[in-house]
Amino acid sequence: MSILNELRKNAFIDIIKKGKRLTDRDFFDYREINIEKDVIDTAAGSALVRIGETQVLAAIKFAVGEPYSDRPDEGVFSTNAEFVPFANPSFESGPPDENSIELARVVDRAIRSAEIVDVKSFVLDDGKVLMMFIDLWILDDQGNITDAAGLAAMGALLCTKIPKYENGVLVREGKLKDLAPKGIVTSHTFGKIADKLYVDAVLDEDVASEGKITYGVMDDKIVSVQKSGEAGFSKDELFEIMDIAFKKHSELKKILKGD
Amino acid sequence: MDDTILFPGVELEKTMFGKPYTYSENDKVYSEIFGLLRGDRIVPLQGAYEPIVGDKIIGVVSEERFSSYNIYINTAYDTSLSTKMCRQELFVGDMIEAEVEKIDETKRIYMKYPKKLPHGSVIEVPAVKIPRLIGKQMSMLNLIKEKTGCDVKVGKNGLVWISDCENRYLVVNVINKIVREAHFSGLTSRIEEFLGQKSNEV
Amino acid sequence: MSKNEKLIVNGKRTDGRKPNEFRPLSIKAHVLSNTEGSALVKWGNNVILAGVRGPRECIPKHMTDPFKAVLKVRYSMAPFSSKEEHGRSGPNRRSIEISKIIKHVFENVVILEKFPKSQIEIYIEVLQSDGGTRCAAITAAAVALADAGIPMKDLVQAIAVGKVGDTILLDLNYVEDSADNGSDMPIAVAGRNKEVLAFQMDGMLTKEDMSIMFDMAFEASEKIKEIQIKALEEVYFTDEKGETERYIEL
Repeated sequence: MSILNELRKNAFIDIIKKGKRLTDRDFFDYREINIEKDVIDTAAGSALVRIGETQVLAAIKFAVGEPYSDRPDEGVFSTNAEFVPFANPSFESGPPDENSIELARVVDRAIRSAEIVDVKSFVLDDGKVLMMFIDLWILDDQGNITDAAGLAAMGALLCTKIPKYENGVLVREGKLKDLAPKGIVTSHTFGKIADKLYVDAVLDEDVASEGKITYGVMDDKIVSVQKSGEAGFSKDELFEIMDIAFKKHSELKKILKGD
Repeated sequence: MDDTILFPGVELEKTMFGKPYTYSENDKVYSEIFGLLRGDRIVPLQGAYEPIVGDKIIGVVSEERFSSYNIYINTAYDTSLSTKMCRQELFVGDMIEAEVEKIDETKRIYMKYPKKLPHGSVIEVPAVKIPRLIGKQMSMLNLIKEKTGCDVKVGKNGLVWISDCENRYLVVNVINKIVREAHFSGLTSRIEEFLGQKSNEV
Repeated sequence: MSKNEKLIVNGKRTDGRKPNEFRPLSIKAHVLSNTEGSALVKWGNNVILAGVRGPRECIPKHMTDPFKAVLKVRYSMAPFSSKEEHGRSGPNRRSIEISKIIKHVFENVVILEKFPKSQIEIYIEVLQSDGGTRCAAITAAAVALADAGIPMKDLVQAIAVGKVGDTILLDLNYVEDSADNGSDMPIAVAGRNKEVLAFQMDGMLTKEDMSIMFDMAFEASEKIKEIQIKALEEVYFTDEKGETERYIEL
């Protein structure tokens, strides 16, 4: 299995040196993106995202809990990712590994830094708070699951309805208030191989990449950054792809709002 | 085409006894897969490679051992190529075409007549689609090679070698299309059309 | 007590069904790109995704069986799948037990001897649950295995029959399953000869009850099988001009 990955990586390097990608696509174009919101009835909000053949589901649910002792006037949220074993032959059953933990934290960081979730509104009458769980379920990995997960999380937030708190219990039926995030955040992951940069990697490009940068973007601000992989990036490269990230953010924001 | 759809557990005529993809119980014969009954043959629509002695296959050297190489051929089984069989030294990552020499009781596959392939790339397709990819008297394969200018070699095990050529990704796209539409009739003309369009664009 | 009364009113159940009707069932096969076979099942409000991988090399090596393939099954409920609380991630005792039950079903029908020393993995993810998920899981896995071209003796169907008060009900939803003093009996059958491959029950039933319930389940299994076959045919016999891309639609 890994020998084939090695071969694919080498084949890809050859192709990219000739100035082409593995598919008929520009280096800074995304594949076709589809977003379906509100797809899981048991969740307060959800979205199923397809980028090319990559498929990721995000679902949001609430529970009641205690606030952090140093922030009694705020609710809490946390993000978790599951690399479901059928999504990729290299995903194993078991507790989250470093990749799924990193993905969850990267998506979480963008949402948290952008401050689009009003956690102050999660405080309940009796001093308890709402706890929001964002679950990122990677169902089919054909590359760039990070951006797909970010998109799915944002899509889920946009359609999330907050349950009512009545007599110490959460009520999920009836007329509910929208979560109404205060802005739209998207993430954009760039890969690098043989000094060529590209966005929205397909699986082979992901496997072959020597380094990655994910920018979390909201309007004209960068809200989060994650670099992974061993390759280094020059300052020029970092700012070149930053400009592209802003452009892509506008495109993806339209898609998120449109559906 | 008078294909009948079969699924696991469907009863077949007694004449199908002992044929591939059937099993028998209490004197009756049943299909064991989801596939098509075409005349007196069962055509599978998906499935793992089941090696037969004499099969021409494509593999990738995955490990060098003391007097043999382990070859990746996309099966669950171990494979072995003795160094004595090889005219030249092989290295991990080399792509070869070879023939299945024998399969022992532990389902270990032994190969002979290995030939190292020039630098290129390898993709995997379901082994059951390989006959369609080759076509009657190599017609489909020749069509692909002619229209794309690439050299392509197909192994019965589902590995396909593509030469280092300009239109590599077109070859990959057309192979994926054939895999998806393998069981439809008129495939050859559809592929001709597809390749005709694409070579105009290129 | 009064809870049960509301479950059946004038011969109709809370969702409008008659006692011997099962919930709407739709199956879409071949929806994942990194598996040999897959199936998405929507059964009532249950949404279940099954993926099959293999046969491939058995890992770890010490688990290899020299004579046949090893089946690995993982049934898992996503924490957002239940109407109520957000669950915890990871396998719990219930899902481990269900994984084992499902494994035994397919150890019977999959012709394991064809692939000695290899493993076949079945992954089942419950994305939305409303009672009867293990039956939906088995039904989905059977389609995913067939989609993968894995040889089997038969296609398997599963359905639960229950009793609430005095009424025998086919395919209990969550509310019905939670009723006081109710009984629930999920079973899986091999389509052709109706051999019972999974059988569990909790509650209190007479032999006569169970006989009626088996008949109901067997009859339902015929209809379920038709839906499974239709799902497989659709993968290969859709309109040629139509899209050949296949993906999950919720």
